[in-house]
Amino acid sequence: MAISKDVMRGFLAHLSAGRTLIGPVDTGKVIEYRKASPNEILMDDRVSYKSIKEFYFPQVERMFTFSEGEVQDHDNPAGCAIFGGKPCDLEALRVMKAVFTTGKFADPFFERRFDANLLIGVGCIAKKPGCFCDQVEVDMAFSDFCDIMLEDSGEGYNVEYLSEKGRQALNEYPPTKDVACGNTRKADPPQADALALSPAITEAGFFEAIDWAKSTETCQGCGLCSFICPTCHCFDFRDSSENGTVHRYKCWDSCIYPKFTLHASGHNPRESRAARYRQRLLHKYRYVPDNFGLTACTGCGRCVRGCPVGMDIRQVVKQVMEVQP
Amino acid sequence: MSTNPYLPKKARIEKIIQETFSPDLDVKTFRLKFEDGQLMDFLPGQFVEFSLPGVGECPFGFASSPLQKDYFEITIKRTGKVTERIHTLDEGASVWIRGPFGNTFPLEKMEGANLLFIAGGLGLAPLRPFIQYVLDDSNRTKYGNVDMLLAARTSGDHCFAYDLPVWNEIDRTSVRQTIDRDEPGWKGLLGFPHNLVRDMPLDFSNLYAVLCGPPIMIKAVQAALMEMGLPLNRLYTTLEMRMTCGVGKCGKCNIGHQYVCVDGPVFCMEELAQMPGEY
Amino acid sequence: MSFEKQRDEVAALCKKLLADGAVSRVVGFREGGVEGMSLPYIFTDPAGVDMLTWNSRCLPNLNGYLTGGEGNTAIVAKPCDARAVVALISEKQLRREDIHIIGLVCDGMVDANGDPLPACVECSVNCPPVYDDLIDDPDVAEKTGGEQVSNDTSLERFEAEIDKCILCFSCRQACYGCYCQTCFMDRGSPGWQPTVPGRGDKMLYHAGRTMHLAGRCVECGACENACASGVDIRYLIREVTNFVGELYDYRAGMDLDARPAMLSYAAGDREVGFLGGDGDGH
Repeated sequence: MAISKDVMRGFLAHLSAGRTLIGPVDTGKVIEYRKASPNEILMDDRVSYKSIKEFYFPQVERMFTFSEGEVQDHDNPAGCAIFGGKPCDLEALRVMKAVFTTGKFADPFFERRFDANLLIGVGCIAKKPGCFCDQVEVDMAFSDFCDIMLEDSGEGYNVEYLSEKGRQALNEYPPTKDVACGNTRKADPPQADALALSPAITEAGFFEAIDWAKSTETCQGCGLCSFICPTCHCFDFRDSSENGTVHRYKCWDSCIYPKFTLHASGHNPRESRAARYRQRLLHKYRYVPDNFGLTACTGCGRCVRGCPVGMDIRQVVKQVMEVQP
Repeated sequence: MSTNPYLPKKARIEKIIQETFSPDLDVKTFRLKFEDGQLMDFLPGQFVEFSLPGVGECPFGFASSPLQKDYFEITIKRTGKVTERIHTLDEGASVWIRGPFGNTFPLEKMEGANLLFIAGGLGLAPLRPFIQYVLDDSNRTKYGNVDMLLAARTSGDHCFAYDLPVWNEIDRTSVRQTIDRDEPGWKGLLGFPHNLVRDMPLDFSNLYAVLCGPPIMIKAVQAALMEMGLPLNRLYTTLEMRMTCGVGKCGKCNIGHQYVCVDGPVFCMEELAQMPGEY
Repeated sequence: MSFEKQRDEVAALCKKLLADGAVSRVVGFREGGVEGMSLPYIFTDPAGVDMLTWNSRCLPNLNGYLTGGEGNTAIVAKPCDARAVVALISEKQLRREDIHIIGLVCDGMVDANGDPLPACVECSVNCPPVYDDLIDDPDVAEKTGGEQVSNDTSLERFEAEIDKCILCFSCRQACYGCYCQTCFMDRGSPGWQPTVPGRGDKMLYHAGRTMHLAGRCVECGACENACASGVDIRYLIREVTNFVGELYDYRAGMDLDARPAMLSYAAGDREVGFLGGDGDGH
């Protein structure tokens, strides 16, 4: 169903009565997702420097508290309504859900937020500098990994629901009552110049595939790429004491940092910056595909645009792809 | 909603055993029991995450028999921030434990075979549950000869010294101890395990070897055993890594696509040879 | 003269330096970044120098790439890069004889929209103070002083800026002066690093880094350019830089023979920085 952006603002206002509303806001220097009023939320085609991941996997999340010899679990977080996740962000959330909720154990913190949040995706109209979703099989305009998907025509949105949660939310607001289900929509097929690593080459084979030190020599090792990446999901636990009670937090970490793998003995399996960059690239393009059948890079281009020294993961992946089995 | 695998349970230190008596290596075994009486049900090779609130959390392998249900033991070397503090604790103190995590040694697959355990220093700790399991009266007949070659730098560095004479008395079981350099009164072997293993009377036709120790020892022993004719698929080891979550989420302990915390810590050397050497 | 002409002169010089073996590496820029950004690159082969570029989008400070490799290194140096080299030499992190400074007269860099970068607007040094070769540009007028910026030093401003920070440390990694092998923020024992990135921990980081840069900042703006979150923390460092300048008449990276303010001591030094007061007390 096609609706105007004003109607969408009305829908967001309706949602904000019961949930914390999150959306992209222009802060003057950057665009970022934050708690916002329906009128502040950007409905143009610009992209934020960080993704929506922090509303599923916060940079810092208190897990539980030790107090007087007992441990206390915390209450479930209240759900947010998140407006404006781009298809790359939604596909990244698919990766994160696979990592956090499949296998013998599930991460309850991600799971709780995933269940509580209402996610409204918005398709892109145009590619931005550094974007490459088409090279990693992500459709710029559409993803079904959300509750409600909006395809942006510039003037308005074509609205579809993709989950029961989405259908109900739309149904409660009269102007969007008759929105149809969007799960018949197919994403665009991949482009010819896809970025993917051959399964014919062993993981160890990629270690010797290129001169990693040369290819990554200008990387400054700051880890910004991990922080602004929608799929990077590594974390650390940190304790914080306060008047005898101790809170344990789950905090973002980055494989780009040397301490990430450092053993107490001083041994470090990834001593060099090149080895750490290699881990980040292969984790996205080889290890997650091996484990979950998904590429853990959705082409959002944030790392390409954000890197202070212009490291471009696409260039390094291409070099690696040139290696024959 | 799934249970929270990051949430530890309170346990009490029942007993502390000083394992080593040398200036360079301080190892203690902590005998633990959950305060709520729950039993720790684990398999040889698995590990726990051990917390001191406000200090931190670290992974440690089980060091006691999985058949011993009254308590479980964790053997810890004083090394970093957390272990430094653990070593200051007294019997009766409370600590926080979650687990068990990780895979196990292929106990059934190894039935009927002869077993060779080679450990260096603290490397005996994660093998001890396996050894005790095999040597238990209820299992001993399922396995062939059990031979152990246990190395430490000095006589004072041998962990579980109280177990060794007991094990040595068990039928079809031998324990050999070695140290790097001779000491007055030392009655065991001298030298490194990769040399000494060549003098052991081993039947390679039906043998599994399980190694644990410093990486350099593992490499050298592996090379020696392969040269003697043991194929890689009959060799097992257990790895250690920095592991925050223990459940395959935090991304710290991967070697290629495998996570040491869920796909390991026990690996067959044949499998390890296919993996990137990043450990 | 223009960027193109300067570029050709630099390229010819770099080719010669590499071909003659005077240096084994040239740290400069090549094209290829998004939104016209030039990329740091380490040239080791004279033929590769064809890729070298010099334009208004050569943002990063190149001093992080000076060590490593064998033999001498040449740097294609904006005035701020050259000042960082001088500062590193003064702090005994580099040896003058190992570094060949190809200095460029520079009129400032621009952002993706073509607007001058804040640090470049405020910059008052458009000719490298120390160089081995100078690539002049007569069209660039000598600056007498950069644009003065009013400095709001209130706690509210500080808090507003650090609230944007995500503690990724890209400003630290981009800074020439942050060369500590283990940053105070990364120390496990004592536990300097924030337990959780709250406001207090961000304050600790930014205030700590600012104090470590007292009298050392070369005003290149790399910290601000690196920040994806739009944090302007440079104003804090500028305040300390001006303070050190007033107290000790020292400006980092301008003079190879000048002893860094924080590495020298005289009995008559004004101690206002430590003791407060009107600045005349001893």
